[in-house]
Amino acid sequence: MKVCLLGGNGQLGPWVVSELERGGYSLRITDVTVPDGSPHETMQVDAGDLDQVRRAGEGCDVIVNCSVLRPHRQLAWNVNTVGAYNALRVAVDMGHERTINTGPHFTVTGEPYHTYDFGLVEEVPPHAGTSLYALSKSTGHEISRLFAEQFPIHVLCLLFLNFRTTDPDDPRYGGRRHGLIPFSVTFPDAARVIRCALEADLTRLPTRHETFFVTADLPHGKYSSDKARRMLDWRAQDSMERFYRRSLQD
Amino acid sequence: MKILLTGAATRLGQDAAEALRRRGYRLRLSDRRRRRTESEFTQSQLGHGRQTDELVAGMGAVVHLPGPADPMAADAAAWIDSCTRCTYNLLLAAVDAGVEHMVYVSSLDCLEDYDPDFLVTPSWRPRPTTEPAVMAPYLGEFVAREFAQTAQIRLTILRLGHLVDADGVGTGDDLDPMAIDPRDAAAGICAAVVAGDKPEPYRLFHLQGDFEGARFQCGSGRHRLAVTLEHDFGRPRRLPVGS
Repeated sequence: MKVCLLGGNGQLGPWVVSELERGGYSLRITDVTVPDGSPHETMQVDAGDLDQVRRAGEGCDVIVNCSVLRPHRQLAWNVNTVGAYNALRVAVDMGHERTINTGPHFTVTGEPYHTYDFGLVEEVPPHAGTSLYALSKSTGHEISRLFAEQFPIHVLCLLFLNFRTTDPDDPRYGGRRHGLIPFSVTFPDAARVIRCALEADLTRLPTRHETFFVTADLPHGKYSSDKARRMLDWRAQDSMERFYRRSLQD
Repeated sequence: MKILLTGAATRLGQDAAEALRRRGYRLRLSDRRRRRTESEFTQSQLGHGRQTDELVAGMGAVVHLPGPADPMAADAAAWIDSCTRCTYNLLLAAVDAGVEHMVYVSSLDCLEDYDPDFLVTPSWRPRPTTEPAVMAPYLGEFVAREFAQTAQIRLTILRLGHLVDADGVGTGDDLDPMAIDPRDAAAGICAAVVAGDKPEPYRLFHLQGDFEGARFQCGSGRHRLAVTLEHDFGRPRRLPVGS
C-alpha cells in the first residue's frame, strides 16, 4: 500500500515515517520543505494548494494528513481548513476507501470544554472556541465530516495535544515541574496509532467519520483513549507515570 | 448607531444599504471590489492587518455578507477562505473594538438536501453538500457561532433563499422555489439589525419568499423579525381550505 503523507516533515511526520517503514508501507513524503536524504519518495507540497495535493495523491492508496500550521492568520486557514478540503477532495476523486486526518483535541473539545469539563468523549458536538489554531482545525474537521457523509470514504480523525519523547536527554521529553497536560502521548505511540488507523477494519466503525482521542492512559479523569482501544486496537505502550507519581520523581 | 456593511457592492448589499439608511442608521460600506458611491466606503479584503481593525472601529453592529469577490469564477479555496478566514478576521476585530452585534448573512442552501416534504426550520441540523458555494457559507456560520457561544459578541445568523428580482419574473415563468426578492432580503437584514437590540446572544432566522410553492416555510422567522415581505412573484400563497 502506498501512503501519501502530507506534513511529513513536521513535528509528528518523521515518527510516522519510521513506524510505517516498519510496517512495510511504500511512502511519498510531502511537505513545504522536504526532508534531506530520505530513502523514500519526497515531494514539495503546500497542502493549501489543490493542484499540488492532487499531484501528491496520484498513485497513492491513502492520504495521511499531518499538515498543520498554528500561529499565522493567513497560513493557518490555508493549511488547516483549505488543506483539509484539498486532502478530502483528492481522496474522494481518487476513490480512496479511507483517509487519515489529524489535529489537536481542541478541534472538538476546545476551551469551552477543556476549561470546565471532565469525562470528555469524542462524540460531543465540536466547540473549538475562537483560538486560531483550534478553530481553523475544527473547520477542517467539519469539512471532513461533510465529505464522509456524502461520499463512500471513511475519515479517521486522530486528535492529539501534547507529544513527549521517551528519551530523558531529548528536550521534547518534557519537564515535570508544571505537571502533565492531561492529554499527552509519546511520539512513538502517536505514530503507532496512525498505522493502526491505516490497518483498522472499517466494518467495525459505526460511521464513516470517526474521531479518536489519542492520549496515554492517564488518571486525571479528563480524557480517555478508550475508543481508540476498542475500534483501532491501539493502546499507548509508553507509560507516563513518571510525570505524575510522587514516588517516581527524581 | 453606525453599522459596517460588508459585501456592499453586491446587489443585496446595495439593497441592504438602502433599507438600513431609510431606517436611520449611519453606514460604513465595504467590499472586496471597488465601488463608486457617495457613502463612506472602504475597499477591503478583510485581512488580519490593521485595516480590518480600522474598518470596525466605532461601529455598533456589523452586517457581514460573506463570499468571494467573483462568486461565479471563484474556486473552492476562494469560497472557503472568504467565508471562514475573513469572517474570523472580521469577528476578532469587531470583538476587540467592542462591537456588540454581528448579523451574518448565510444561505438556506445548507438545508436543501432534506426531503422537500419536511417542514424544515432553524432547529434542523444543516446538511450542506461539499459544493464550495454551498458548504462555505455554512462553514462561516460554524466559525461565527464560536464567538457567540463564548459570549464575545451577539450573533444573528440570517439564512436567505436565492435572490430573484420579482420585477423580472412573469406569472407564467418558472420560479426558483427558494426565491426571495433582494428588496425583501434587504428588509430582513434590516429587521435582523433592529432585533439585535435585544440582549439574546444568538439567534438564527430563515427567510425566503412567501409564495405558493415556496421551498421553506419561514413564517416564524418573519414573525420574530417583524418583517413584511412585499414580493410574492405574482403567486400568492393559497390559504388552506376552511381557514
